Amino acid sequence: MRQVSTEPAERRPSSAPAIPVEVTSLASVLRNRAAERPDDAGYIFLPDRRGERLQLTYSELYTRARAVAVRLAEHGNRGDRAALLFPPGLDFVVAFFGCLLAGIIAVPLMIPRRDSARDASAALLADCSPRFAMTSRELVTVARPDLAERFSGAELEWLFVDAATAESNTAGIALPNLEPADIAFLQYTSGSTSTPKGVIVSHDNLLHNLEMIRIAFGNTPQSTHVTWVPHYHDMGLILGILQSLYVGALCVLMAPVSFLQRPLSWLRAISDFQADLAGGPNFAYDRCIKRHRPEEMHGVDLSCWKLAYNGAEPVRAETIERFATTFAPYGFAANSAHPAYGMAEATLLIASGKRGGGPLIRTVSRSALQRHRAVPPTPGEDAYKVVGCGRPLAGTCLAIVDPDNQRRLRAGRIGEIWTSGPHVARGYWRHSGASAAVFQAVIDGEPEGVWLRTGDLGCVDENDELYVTGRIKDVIIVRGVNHYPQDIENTVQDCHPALRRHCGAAFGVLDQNGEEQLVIVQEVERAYRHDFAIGEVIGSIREAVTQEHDIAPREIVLVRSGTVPQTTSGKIQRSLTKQMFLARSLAVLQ
Amino acid sequence: MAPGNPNEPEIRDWCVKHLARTLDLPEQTIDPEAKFTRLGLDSANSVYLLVELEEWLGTELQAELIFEYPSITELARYLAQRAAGEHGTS
Repeated sequence: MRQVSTEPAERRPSSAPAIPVEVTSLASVLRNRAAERPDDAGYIFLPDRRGERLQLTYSELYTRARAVAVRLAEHGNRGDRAALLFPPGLDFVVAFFGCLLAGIIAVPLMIPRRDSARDASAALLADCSPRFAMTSRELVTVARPDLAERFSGAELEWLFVDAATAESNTAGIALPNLEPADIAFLQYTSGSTSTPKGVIVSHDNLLHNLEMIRIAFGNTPQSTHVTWVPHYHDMGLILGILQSLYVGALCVLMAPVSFLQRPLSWLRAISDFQADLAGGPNFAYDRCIKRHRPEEMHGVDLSCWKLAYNGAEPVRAETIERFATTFAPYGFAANSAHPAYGMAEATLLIASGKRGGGPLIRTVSRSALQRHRAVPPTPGEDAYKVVGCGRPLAGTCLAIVDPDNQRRLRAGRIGEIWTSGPHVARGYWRHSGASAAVFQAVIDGEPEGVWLRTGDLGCVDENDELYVTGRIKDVIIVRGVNHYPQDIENTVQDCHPALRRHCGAAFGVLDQNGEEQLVIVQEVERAYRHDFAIGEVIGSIREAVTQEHDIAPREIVLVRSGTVPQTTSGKIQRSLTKQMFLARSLAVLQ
Repeated sequence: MAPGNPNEPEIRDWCVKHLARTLDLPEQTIDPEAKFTRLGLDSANSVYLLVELEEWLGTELQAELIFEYPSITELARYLAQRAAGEHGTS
């Protein structure tokens, strides 16, 4: 590997970060903020073009969340689950903290597309069996009356949380004292209709990871944050909403759709609020570059923006470089780019650079990378730039492990990324088998520790810098959202009787821009081969997948019966199918 | 911005060209009668389509339009009628 830039070789202290003893949960942090800085704005929601700007002071947030908590405690028991179904805005924040204060386990949910026939919510509700559904009155009565119908089978107790709902004075009513080991919330990483898995995040996990993030990012009460990342996404919730409260900084929220429509309005908000912190998945930066219009940037000053984090999908060197070049004239400093790496199973963050350290970009051989080797490119060879995602967080360990024999690999070798520490969540809700395999892995010859297997591939260099180079888990990541191939394959096979059950593969392929695209390969029953309209069936598949999963297949390939590779035990071999697709060696039906 | 006031066929053709580019498909495979989801337009790409249309037509469009007018033909008809109404030429 060739080192393009260097960082000081000193290592972070490996002891776990110290959390003040009086802080036992984020609920106590909120109480303290309300007592010490009652009139400071904790959250601001920026409306779309016409709406009005909304604000919550710490005191308002605490009072409203407390009233919600009292209602929850009256109707439920500690440890009950509450599904949180909210449009972007401040009511979600109130509901989430209401759950924390009451000891009710919050389950943030994505609002299903209105035209989807069977969305992931039903499977999630069945998985975590919530007692409550918390929402805003406006959403379920005016904007999306179909939601009540969709959730009618789950015997939920509906609870409206909005500014219009009068809250009684609840100051004297006692709420439970939370223990660090209590569960704070369940994070479902994305809608998975076949086997949804909710990551169990305890108060202890949450506080530890928030403290690790604070240290790595160098956040202070002046670290005003402008975020549009959805609140049901771990990045939007933890890095946006919760880290801000934890460090006592203002958090300015925008609706995700406002960002998608007008990415430059995000940059303008960063300038208006003199924000220190803002970020998102890699595609967000691409979107800003694409929509950059100098005439819409008058008066925008990005010199305040010291930490532009980039995570939740592969970080691309080209994006980092183009963003810095495009927005340098507005004061954006190249060393503000801050790649990071994490996943919900580790609460959120696993590795991060240092504030202001700038990204570390190295050039490696693309062909060697495909064989899981990180070596410098030879002259004339296809060079590929990999971006460093920083180093393991304070108080955590990171190992690169051969996924086949669980042996630890040395620096420079590519293997599966494993992490351990107090940020690693407790497991998946009611999936003990899957939890043991993922959360309690043991390195060969090191029986004393248990590790989280990330399913991602990468290597570390001699300075402990982590480079994520690929993945072994079957997941497709588009715009920071995880999609599970099993779900997509099921949807495909439901489209037409000719499509063979359990005989198809969905996988991600990088396009010429380096963006991940969905490809579907599906077998057709022999009996139907000469007797069906291929174009028609492909159209049905495209429609169903787009509607149910909100992801558009880039290519749909129908193949002869018995030609999608399976293991001897009948499991679909997705990566082998992908190789055959790329090599054009599939038995394609014309 | 579009020159003058585009009519329905012009808006339709513009949408076909835009989607062919976005979805990386030949223009002749974009059926203006097909539902957007059948063409493989997810919600992010729907938003992008409307944003580009806004810029071209010089008018504000709500994201919900894609659900209310779920094909190129329907959307183009609505937008042309709306533009004609706004300019008092209908």
